[in-house]
Amino acid sequence: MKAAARHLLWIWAGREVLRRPGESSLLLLCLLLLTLLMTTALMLTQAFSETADALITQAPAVVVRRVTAGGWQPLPAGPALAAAAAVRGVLNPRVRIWGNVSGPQGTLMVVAHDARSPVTDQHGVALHLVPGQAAVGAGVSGADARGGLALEGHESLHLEVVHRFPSETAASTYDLVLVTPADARRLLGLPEGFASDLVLDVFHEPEAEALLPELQGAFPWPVHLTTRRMVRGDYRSQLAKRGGIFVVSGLPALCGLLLILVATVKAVRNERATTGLIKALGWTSDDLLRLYLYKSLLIALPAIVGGIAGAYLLVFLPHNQWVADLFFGWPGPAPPLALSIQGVVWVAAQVAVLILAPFLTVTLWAALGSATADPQQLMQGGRFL
Amino acid sequence: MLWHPILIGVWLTDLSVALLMLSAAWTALKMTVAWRPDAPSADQLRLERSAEDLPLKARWAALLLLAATVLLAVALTNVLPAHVPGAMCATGVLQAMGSAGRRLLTLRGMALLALFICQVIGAIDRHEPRSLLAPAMARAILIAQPPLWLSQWAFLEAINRLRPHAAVDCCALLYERSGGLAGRPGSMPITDAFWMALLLAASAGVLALAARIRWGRPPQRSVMAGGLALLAGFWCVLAATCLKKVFAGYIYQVPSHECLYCLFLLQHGAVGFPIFGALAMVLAEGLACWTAALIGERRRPLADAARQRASSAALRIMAASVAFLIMAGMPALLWRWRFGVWIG
Amino acid sequence: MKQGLICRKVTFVRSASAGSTRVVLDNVEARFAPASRTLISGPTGAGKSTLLHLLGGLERPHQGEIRFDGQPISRWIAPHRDRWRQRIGLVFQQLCLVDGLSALENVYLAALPHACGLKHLRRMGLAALERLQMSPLAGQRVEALSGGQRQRVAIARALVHQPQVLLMDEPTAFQDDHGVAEVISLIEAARQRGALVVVCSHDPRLVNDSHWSAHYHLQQAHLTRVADSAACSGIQS
Repeated sequence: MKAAARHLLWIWAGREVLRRPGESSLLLLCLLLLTLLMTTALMLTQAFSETADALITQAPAVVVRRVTAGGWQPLPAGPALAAAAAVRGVLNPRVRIWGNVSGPQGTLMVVAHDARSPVTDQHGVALHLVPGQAAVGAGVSGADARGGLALEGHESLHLEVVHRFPSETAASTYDLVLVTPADARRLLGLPEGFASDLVLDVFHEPEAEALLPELQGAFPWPVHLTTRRMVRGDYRSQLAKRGGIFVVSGLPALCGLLLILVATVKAVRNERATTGLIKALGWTSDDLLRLYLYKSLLIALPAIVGGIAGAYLLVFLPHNQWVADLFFGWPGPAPPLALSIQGVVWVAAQVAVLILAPFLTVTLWAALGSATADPQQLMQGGRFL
Repeated sequence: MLWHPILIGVWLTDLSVALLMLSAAWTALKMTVAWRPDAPSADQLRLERSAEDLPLKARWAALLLLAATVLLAVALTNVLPAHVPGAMCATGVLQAMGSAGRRLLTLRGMALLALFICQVIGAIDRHEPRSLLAPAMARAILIAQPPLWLSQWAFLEAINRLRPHAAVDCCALLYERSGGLAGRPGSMPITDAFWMALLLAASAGVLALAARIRWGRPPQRSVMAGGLALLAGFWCVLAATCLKKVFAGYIYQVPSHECLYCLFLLQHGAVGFPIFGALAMVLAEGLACWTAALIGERRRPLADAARQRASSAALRIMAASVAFLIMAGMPALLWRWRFGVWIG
Repeated sequence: MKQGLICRKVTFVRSASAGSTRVVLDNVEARFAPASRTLISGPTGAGKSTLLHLLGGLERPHQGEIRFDGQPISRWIAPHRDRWRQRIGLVFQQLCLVDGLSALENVYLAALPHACGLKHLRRMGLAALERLQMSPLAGQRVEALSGGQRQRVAIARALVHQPQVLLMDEPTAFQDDHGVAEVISLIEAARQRGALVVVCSHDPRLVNDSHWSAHYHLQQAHLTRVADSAACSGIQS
């Protein structure tokens, strides 16, 4: 075909698609739904991963917990800090007081407010808590008759809720109760001078792994050490375990894709006679392959773009309930999920590899056999007018 | 043994390539034995029909192998280090693989070059209706078989040696080899200026020779093209050495870090891919130029097509070598401009 | 075009039932000169269509060569055979029109490789249909046309790009006498333009036309040149 007339192939490809409108529409719909299903699963995975990474990056580099045969034990704050500070490469060691208690509607996490790391509200005003006061997350409910929060731990406490963290922070504050250190010790039964765990930072994240053996030996008691890398790994395996949806969506999607691919190969093979005819009429093999490519793109591209757009809306539509309900067991809207441009591009690339590439490959592969054969071989057995 | 999904993808693609080339090899073997282009006998015509598929198979095999190699490079540099204790880049992964890793890369490179030459032969041959280069294509396909199959074996061997619990030294080992900033005791100090001078001289030679082939009318083109191919090969080795010894420090912004694989890490912008892509292009197009020139001299009907291919190869060599110098040298120039001194 | 089409010891074998083979053409030798019109006659199933397909590059012989202007086109590689077919205009015995497309769109199929743009394509298509008095039915789907009308569309498709070689298989099977006269005048116009025309036909209205440059008869896989026009009339399908 003359180079100046290559656009005619696009027009002809469009005409060919319209020649069988029912088949073309069905194929487009199938590809769109398949893309929607797979992209939703991929986008959720990517969004969860990015959101978790964003949170984990803000967490300490290493968490040190004292362990015994019976489980974990509070560690003496002073000796622990001294031991950690003695290890070269450790930055900013500090102790934390936190634990789980029973609230009106289930288990809640109590965290002692660290005055060295002030918490601000959405207006930038620093929170000042006094004993008997608490700042709670969006998922903490069940106020009693006096409008406060009753917690059952080592001791029972009744706290006044002075601040509620906004729902945008729900990923890290949903079931959080922030109290003064004194209240936290009473709830958790931690004596003075003891802490729940010790955390520290390092200059480069890979150094955390390198410091583990030295940290292990620095403390006079057995300790369990957790790095960010381990948390990420744990998180990903949790997601994989909880990923029933990915199997549920993946298997039928895979079957659907295979069905589409087989049907595409059959459709191309059924057009052998027409392919032979147009070869006999002077079309080159390159023209034919381009025609099949353009026909596939005219169907696949709108389907994939529509599927990705639909999946984006499904996952990120404001106030959608199904994500929270399915993944977090929360009645309200899901915490905002982070998805960067690179994340979207990565998801689109995976969709291109999982759906577009196989679709185009089988179309071209089936067409290749026709394109290189002699025209009469293709036309034999074909039905024409 | 470590079977990451990306490695499975590489292996499956490699297997497709191998099977494709196996079917091509059978035809190539028959052609080598029984090719009689002057006689339109039934056997010859049948062989000609089979031979028509060879360029297509070679092209697809080359594309698939290239895709698999890029995937393998991504795996070695950015995916597998997370699974090999102590590995921070492909250096650590290749240490874990042992000699199988180096063999894998060498044989894979050889197979890619062989398939690229098949593709060059096929592209020139298309210009003539009678497929004058069919026997040459058949020979090239047979030559490509050993490195292809051996690289498959090396791949399996290399993967088998990966152990998720065996730690490696990674780039730290390079410091021991090179002696760090101080250099190895007793070694002759070779300054950055010397390396740069050598590289610039070699680059000037490559550019001049390529320009002569591209725009001149040399009487002995294949000799000149052969010289360009050899010089391009030498230039690639020199460029990689200068990259390691001189340019890498400016890219990493440290006094010295003689590890080329760290260039492929995302934290350094994965600049290793385009930089080594440019080197690969210089090497491959050098061979393509020589091959095209030889074809042009030995097959008069294909002289024009071969000359065009040799010219475009020369142009690509010029573009790729300049691109390499810019990509590798720009960080150094920026450093000099910002701080007023060179590193070291 | 200097030497035209030459068949040199062309042999073609087709698979028959139960794994056996049938020799359709056996060492066929023939020459089709440029600016000439040649008739090939023979009984049904003799292999006339097969010979036409070989000349048109739709199939390749199992032995021997087909040459055009000294070049062995039957042994060319696929891209060059594709370009060779762009010089051919072919009218199939079964017409081979594509259903679901209009008459004009069927003609477009042959014009697309030669067109420079959409307007040029349309002009070519309409002009070809006009020559066969089919332009009023240009927009009609081919399923709605009669046999004779479809055959005219098939002929228009073959002539749309003014081919150097025109191969026609039973081009008058569905035509009345007036239609046959039109086809003969189109063949003559193509010949005068310098085209090489080869027609396979049993139709006595064509066979008895006295203006054939050459006449071959195909029977039992052998092609023989018929000596003169008187001999032509004695050989019927």
